[in-house]
Amino acid sequence: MSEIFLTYGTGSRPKLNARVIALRDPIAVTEAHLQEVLKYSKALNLDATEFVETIRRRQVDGQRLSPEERDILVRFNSLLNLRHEEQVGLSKRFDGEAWRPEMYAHIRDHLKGVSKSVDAIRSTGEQSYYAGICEAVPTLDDRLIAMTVEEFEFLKANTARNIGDIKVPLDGPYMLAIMTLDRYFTDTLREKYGDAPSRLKYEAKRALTLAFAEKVVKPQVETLAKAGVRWIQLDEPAATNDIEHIAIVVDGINAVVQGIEGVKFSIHTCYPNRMPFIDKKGYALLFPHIFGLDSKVNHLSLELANGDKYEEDLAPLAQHKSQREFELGVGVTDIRPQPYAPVYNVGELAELVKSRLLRAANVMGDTKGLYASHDCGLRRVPLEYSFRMDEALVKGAELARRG
Amino acid sequence: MILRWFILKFGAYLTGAFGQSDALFIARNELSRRGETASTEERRSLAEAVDRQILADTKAVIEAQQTAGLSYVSDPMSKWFSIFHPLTQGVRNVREGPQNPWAKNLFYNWPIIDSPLNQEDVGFTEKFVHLDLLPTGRAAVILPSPYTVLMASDVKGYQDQRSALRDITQLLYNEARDLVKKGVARIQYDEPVIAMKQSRGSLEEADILLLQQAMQYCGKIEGATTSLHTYFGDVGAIIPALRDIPVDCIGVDGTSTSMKDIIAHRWDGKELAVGFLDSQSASMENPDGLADKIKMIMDGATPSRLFLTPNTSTEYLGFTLAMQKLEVLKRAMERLRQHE
Repeated sequence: MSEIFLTYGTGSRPKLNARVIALRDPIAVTEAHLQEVLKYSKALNLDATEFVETIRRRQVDGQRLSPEERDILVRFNSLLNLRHEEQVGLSKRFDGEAWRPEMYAHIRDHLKGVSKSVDAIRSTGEQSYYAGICEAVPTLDDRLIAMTVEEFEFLKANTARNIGDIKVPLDGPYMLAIMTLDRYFTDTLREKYGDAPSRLKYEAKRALTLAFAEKVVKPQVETLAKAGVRWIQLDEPAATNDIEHIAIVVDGINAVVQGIEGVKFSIHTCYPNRMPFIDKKGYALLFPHIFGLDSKVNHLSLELANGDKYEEDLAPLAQHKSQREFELGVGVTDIRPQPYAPVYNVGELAELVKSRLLRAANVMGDTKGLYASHDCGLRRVPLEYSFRMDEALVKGAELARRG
Repeated sequence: MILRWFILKFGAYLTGAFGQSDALFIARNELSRRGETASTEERRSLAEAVDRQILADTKAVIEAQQTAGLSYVSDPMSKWFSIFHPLTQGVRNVREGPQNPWAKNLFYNWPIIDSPLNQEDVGFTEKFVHLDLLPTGRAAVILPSPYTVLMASDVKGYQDQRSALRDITQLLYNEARDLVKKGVARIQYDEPVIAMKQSRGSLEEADILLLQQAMQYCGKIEGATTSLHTYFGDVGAIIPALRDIPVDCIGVDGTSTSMKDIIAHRWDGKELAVGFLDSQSASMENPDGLADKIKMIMDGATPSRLFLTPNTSTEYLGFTLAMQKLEVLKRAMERLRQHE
């Protein structure tokens, strides 16, 4: 395969309805949900018997799933996503985060020193999430570390392709800090920063981010590196939410990757602040801070299709290329659900992918180091459409290679 | 009893959307998860469950504010998604633009103003608040400041900023007057942009002039008091300019602006609201410490009235922590009133 416009998914994918519902209540799983599983399994040449039988058995006796049975469902979902990514031809693959309930909750629920908020907190429109409340220096429990290895070993054992092509996404330290409500560090530092409230906020956020970097993210990275992972994507969707804190994002990432060898690191960021009320905006806000990123971090995965302003959004990356050049994961599909983003058929979307990749190449002056990716995880679109989006991504990249 | 609220020199109130309850999240989640495949009847029932929960939460939050003895009482605004949401939903020629970060992990859609505003579009806020549940004489409603609307919108329908600002100001003035006719006693204009620009070093003289120009027109509303509430930034350096803005009260973000800067200026004849409660932190402020700070400001800056507030919406905390912040506010006020 040509090395230009390689393709990858960014992170999550919707979970099988049957799996989600069965984990709550097997009786609520309908025949239509099971047929959906059988349909995808057939298309991917997978045997879903154990998955379906597990649910049916519990529907008969009315019992909840045991931990072992839950595991059967989760592993099947993971395998299904992996097979799909292999079959559709993505260059770099994962399993749509099938093992993880949700990217932040997955970590939050395994933290010591952080409790789960009583109420869900609104994030976008009517969408909400349960924040963590930091009451002490956060550390990770052993179960999460074991699960991180288990997840990768499962993919390694089941991939039909090169394990070097598996890209593992992890929550970045600043993302964890921004989704967590701090109590501990603010209280600890309050006296020191007395009548300098802005400084207190900055230092508390920095301390929380570095604690997540060193005590939570780095242990996962070290474990994965030992297990043989060759590419880790650190998710920092909120890198530019607070423009005064971008230096903290960089410090957090550097603390994670320092001393780790043999692993390629990328950062995924999205929805940059496009209205920050200063003379630069969007990804330009990352500069000059990202000049200070550890050289092992040589790839940025960017949301670009949402705004569809490739020329404007990529201009700062092109402008600073001589000082620091990054490979780019060019977001070429808008991952927002209807009515925010239109739905395309594969052919239409592939054409759009092609034109967006060529626009990106035009701005950057080269196709070298450009990957085709989705804007972000696909969790918010229907599963069927997420599969079509991958297909369009691969076809569109191929069209772009032909020019 | 009502008279007493107007003679106290110290007061307190909430300054934005309140943390939402878990029950509301669950009701909305059910509607979103089951709504697509549900029958019309089921969907209506799920939507009604959301409305019922919003009403229950609104009553609970209003009652809690009254029990806490707050000077002004506001709706928790469980229906709105940002300070611009009522505008984009209820004013012709204004629509939602792309998603952008607001603060912490909260996003909003910025307004796009496609063509000149229609000044007859009054009443757009009413759909988002329960005016009938707010107490007479103490009802407060939040509107975005005209300058913030201008700067935070993609304005396509005007040739220059001044003409756009003129129309935005007129629209918000009409809206404020309409709210006052319906019993609102306090209009709070939310003004985060001036504070953000000041903090980020991008504020120019022209910005202050635009803000002044707008507030000259809509800063005084007959039958109500007004506040220009700044947040998300340190406004220490522009306090003299803010103090001259023709509104009854200026709100300052006390989680960004230092005490020293607030006290360095005389606020004679002006009300001052200081947002010392950090609405983005689970750390609970000490009521005694807050009361001490408020007394120091009263002694040093001598505003006509002094209010203790959260710096902005407590929705970043969720219902339970927001209630805890309200309790802190109440206890700090109790300390202060012991000294009145």
